[in-house]
Formats: sequence, C-alpha cells, structure tokens
Amino acid sequence: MSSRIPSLLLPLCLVSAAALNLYPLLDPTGVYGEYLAQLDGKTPPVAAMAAALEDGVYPWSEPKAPEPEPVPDPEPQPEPEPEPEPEEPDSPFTTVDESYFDDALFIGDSHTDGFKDYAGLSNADYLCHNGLTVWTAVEKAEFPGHQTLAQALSGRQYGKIYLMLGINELGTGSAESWAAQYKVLLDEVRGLQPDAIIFLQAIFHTTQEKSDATFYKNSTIDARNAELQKLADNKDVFYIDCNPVFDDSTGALTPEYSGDGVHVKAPYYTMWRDYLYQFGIVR
Amino acid sequence: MTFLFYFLPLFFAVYYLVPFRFKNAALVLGSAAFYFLGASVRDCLLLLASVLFHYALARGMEGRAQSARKALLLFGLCADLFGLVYFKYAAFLLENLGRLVGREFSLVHLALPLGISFYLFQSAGYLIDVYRGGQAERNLIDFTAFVLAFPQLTMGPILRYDEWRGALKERTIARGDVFLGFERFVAGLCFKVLLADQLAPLWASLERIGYGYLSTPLAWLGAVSYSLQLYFDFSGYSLMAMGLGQMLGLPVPRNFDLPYLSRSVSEFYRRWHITLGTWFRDYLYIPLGGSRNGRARTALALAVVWVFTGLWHGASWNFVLWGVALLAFILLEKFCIGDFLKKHRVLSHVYLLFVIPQTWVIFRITDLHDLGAYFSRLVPLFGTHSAVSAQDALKLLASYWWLLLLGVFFCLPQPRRFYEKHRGSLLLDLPLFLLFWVCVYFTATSAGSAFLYSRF
Repeated sequence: MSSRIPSLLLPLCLVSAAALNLYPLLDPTGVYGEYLAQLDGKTPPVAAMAAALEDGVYPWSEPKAPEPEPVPDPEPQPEPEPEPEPEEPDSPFTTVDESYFDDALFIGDSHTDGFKDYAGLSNADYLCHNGLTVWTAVEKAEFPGHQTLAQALSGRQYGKIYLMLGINELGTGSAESWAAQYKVLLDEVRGLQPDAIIFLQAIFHTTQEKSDATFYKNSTIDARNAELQKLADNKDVFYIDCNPVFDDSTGALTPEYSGDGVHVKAPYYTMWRDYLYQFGIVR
Repeated sequence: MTFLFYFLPLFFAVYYLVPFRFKNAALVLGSAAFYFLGASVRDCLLLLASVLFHYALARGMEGRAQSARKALLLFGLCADLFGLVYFKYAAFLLENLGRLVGREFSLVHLALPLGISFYLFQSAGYLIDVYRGGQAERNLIDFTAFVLAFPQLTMGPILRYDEWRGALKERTIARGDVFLGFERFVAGLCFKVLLADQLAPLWASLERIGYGYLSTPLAWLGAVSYSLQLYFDFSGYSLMAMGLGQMLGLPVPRNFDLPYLSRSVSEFYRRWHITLGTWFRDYLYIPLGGSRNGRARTALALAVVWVFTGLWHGASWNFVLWGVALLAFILLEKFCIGDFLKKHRVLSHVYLLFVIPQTWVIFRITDLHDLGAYFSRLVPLFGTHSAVSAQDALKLLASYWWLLLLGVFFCLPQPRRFYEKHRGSLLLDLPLFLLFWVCVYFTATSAGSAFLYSRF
C-alpha cells in the first residue's frame, strides 16, 4: 500500500476541529467566556466560536472593556409637573384615516413585513427585517441596504413611528431584560426622531397549539407586553395592544387566521390596519 | 453538532482501534448509544424487541418444513404490520372509522417510535429473504449490527441482509474507504445544511402568507423550491449515510440517482429513494404478479404498491392522494404515453418537471383544505383574492434566486461528474473543507432543523 493519503479532507477537518474546539477553551483573548457559558454540556466549544462570529467577535478581536454600567441619571429629574394636569379625557386617541399615515414609519419584524405587503398602507414607510429583535435592531445593520437603525433613521423626520418587535426573541432573556433593551431601542429612536409620536405595539399572541408546543408562549408574550406598556408615557410614547383583533375567546391567536400559528394570513392584515385607525394621536 | 464533534470521532477511534472480532460489537454499542440519545426508553425497548423477534423467527425457520416456515413468516409479517398500524396508523384509522359511523372515538395519540418505518421494513425484508431460501444469521451481534448500524437506523437506506452478510463476517477497511467515505459524508452534509436548510424558509413564507393567498407565480415557485429542498434534504442525508457506511467498511447503497433528470414518473421513482422502491418491487409488486400477468393484474399490483407507498409516508389522506396521483401518472405512462415520452426527449423532461413539483405539494400539505387552497393558486381558475400581492414572488426571488439556481445546478450530472473525477484531490477537498466549516457555522447559529424524512 502506498503511503499517500487518499484525501486530505479528513485530516484537514480533524486538525482544524481539534484546533477550533480548543481555541475557545484556551481563550487567549478572553472574548469567549460568555459564549461558552451559554452552551449546554452536549454542545462542542466550537459552537461558542460560531456564536461569537455571528456577533462580529473574531478570534483576534480585543475583548470589550466591561461595559460601563449605564450611569443612572445622577438625580432623578423631578418631573416638571407644576400643576396637576387637567382631567385627562377618557382616551387620548382619535379615529383617523389612511392619510394619517403619510408621515408614518413602521419598524419591526416579520409581522410588520406582512403588514407592509398586505395591509394596503403604501403611503407609509417601512423598516423591517424578518427575524429582527430588540437586540439586533440596535446592534446590527439589518435594515434594507445593510443599514443600521441610526443610518436608516437619519434621513427623513417622521410624525409617527410604530414599533412592533419581540416575537423572535421570546426564547431569550426575561421580560425585564427584554423591556430594558426595548428602552435602549426606544431611546435611540427618540434621539434620532425627536418630534415623532412613538407607538409601541404589543407582541401578537400565537395560536394555542403553537403556544403549547414551542417557546412562542402566550404567557411569555403577556408578561413582556405588560413590561412594554410601562415604557409608554402616554404623552408622546403610546402603547397599543392590537391582540383583540386576532384573539379567539381564550386569548390566543384564532387558528383560522393563521397558517403557521404565529403570523396572520394575508387577508387579515387589513383588520390590524383598521384597528390602528382608531388609535391616532392628532395634535 | 454533538454528533459531529463528539460522537463520530469517539466512535470511529474505538471502532478502528479494536480488533476485527469486536468491530461489530463496537458498532452495535455505538449505534445503541446513538439511538438512545435521540429516542425514548419505550422506543429503545421496542427496537430491542424487534431485533430479538426477527432474529428468533429467522432462526426458527431453519431446517423446518415449508408449511412451518410459511407459518413463521406470516406470523412475523403480521406482527410487523400490527406494530406499524398500532404506532403509526391507529389514530388515523380510528378517526376515519369514527367519521364513518358518525361518532368520535377518544384518541390516544402515540408518538411515532423513531425510525420504526425503516427498521421494520428492513427486518421484514430480511424475514422474507430467509423464507425464500436465504440463510438465517446465527450470530446475534452481527444481525443486531445490521439492524442498528447508526448511519441507516433512523432514516434508511433500507438494507438487504445479503448485501451485508459478507462484510459483517469479514472486511478489510481500506484506507481509501475511510478518507473517501468522509469526503462523501461532507458532500452530503453540504447538501443538507447549505441547500435544503437554506431553502426551507421560503416554504415557511408561503405558510405565513396562507396557501390560499399566494400569487400563481409564487405558488409555482414554492412547489419548485420545496422539490429542491426535499431532494437535498433526503439525498444529502443518504449521501452522509453512504459515506459513513464506507468509513465503516460496510456497503450502504446509493439511494438517489439524479432523479430530476428522469423522463417519466416511473423512471423518477426508480431513481428517488431507490431502496424503498426496490423493497416494494421485490416484496409486494412482484409477488402480486408484477407486469407479467396481463394489464389488469399489473394495474392492480401497481395500485396496491402505490397506495401503500403513500401510506408508508404518513397516516394522512394527503399521502394516499399523493400515492394515487403518482399511480395515475404511472398507469398513464404504462398504457398510453410511454412510447411518446421515449420518442420526445425535451417534452418528456418538461412533462416530468411539470408533474413532480405538483405531487410534492400534495406530499407536503397534510390538511386537505389547505391543499385545495394551494392548488386553487397553482391553477387559478376561480380568480384571485383581493389580498394577493402580485409582487410576492419577486420579493422572495430577490432573496432566493441564487440558492434556487444553485439547487438546480446540483440536480444536473456535471457536479457529480466533477466529484467522481476529482475525488481525493485538493480541487475538491479544499472547497469541501471550507464548506464543512460553513455548515458548522450555520448549524451552530441556527435553531437547526430535523431531517424531513425522520418523520416517517
């Protein structure tokens, strides 16, 4: 038998597999610790490298300096509320029509993507990306043309901005950490669009079947929506829960409306749109 | 990932190091561990019972009179049938029986034991072979290795004992087989992870929009995309199994032979999931009379085979419908248009590529209402719902066109020719090496998706 090795693929893979599994364990630059901690015992260390790579952390990346804790405002600004507000009207909302959305922007995940295609509001602008989360929206360049949120929002100034996020990240984080990140996103949007009225749309429920079988749980969704509602100040940030449009009597997404248990089918987006018509803020 | 980086290296290290007489035992132990990791205790016990049962029955046939052998065979086949019906079809049968007599039966939905459709078919085939004069295996470990061998246990290919007997008794594992087997394994992995899994979200988009609200171009795009996805999923898996078999020194047969190049539906199913087709041919079609007893008998045999092939894929009416649709085309070819297809090269390809994607839609959509909705979009005879977006197909094409083109390219013979020609050379190995790590990256960063055929 000749000593020639018939194919270099196996040796190459073996050597590189050994190296790429060892490297994150040795972790000379110290960037992999947090990724390794997220793996379960059955997953090889190379998965940590892949996860890091996805976040733009390369083997030669310098470790991030521990992020400075967001310095809490030194003194909680006393709310300048000199006089007790006049009796609030029952609802700040008025019913509006399509033209209201001429200066509106929708930012969101696949829910918003479906809305863009099927709600028939072509006068509004949209920034959406399937799989978008409150984390990736801030940290990555996932908007059309590989733009970051800052780039995408730096042009036109909008009168209204509708946010809809949360379904994709139901499996990670807690309601509190999710809402905290939502706050980061909200602040960034506010910084770039100081005059816009911002609407926080509640995460849509899933069908009972989906909720039972996957991490798309309606209990998780409700917990996060409750946290989301706290971010609204009802002055220029409002919370809108459109779930009543699509829910069945048990508070889950009506099965007939959905093909995949999460999203509504094409013809139902107009119901969502019509519901939004009832929640206009006119100044 | 666990399989790739822990199980495979560990298993093969042990397997190559132990002396030959322990290799089959090592294979049995490794495969049992593999199955145990993915299956419940009930599934494991069931598999163990099945192995012992078929081993004992085959041994029992040895040296017995013909009538006793026949009785044992029938007993075994009935037990296999009962096992399949009980675990796979009970709910379906009861539901339809209930509909027939107008009342509902309370159903206990049993989870399908992992791989049962594959290993029961393989074991039943073994029994029939022994009945027909094949030799029963006396060594329990060798027989167990044949049923359990991890590359084929849960998703085929369905093996014949005659193909393995020799190798189980004596095999030399050539260095070339180890290295080239791995090469094949990586090629299969790329099919699965880089083509099938990446195409999968396209169908998910159709599901999201709702089958009844697709534009007609999108409905066709979906059918084509799913045809490619299913092919790369299962043929990718089969290539991986074949490669691993080669690394073990055991022959795992080719399960796919560029099926989309076929020129008729009958030819397609001689080149798609070949081992299942062969099983039905040898153990059902030919015993039923095959094609040698006149037209009526042939049609009957084909009908039985295709209804069962449909049902094998799942206990649901759409699979029956799928089988019947294929049967209709195969009969049509056999008795009417076969000669025409032979004569017209281009037209026969067009015919196949027109028919097969539609049959995959039937295969894919288990709910008959949804299926009807999808076909109303494929063939838009009744106008269009106002919610349909005319741009939907373009929007998805914008993201998927290069994947679809790549998929079509890998259905052609050229990539395989390139592969055969450059096996072992760096021209093939360097790209495969890079793609291997791309596969790892994709697998590690996505939630992962099960093999489509693992449901059967």
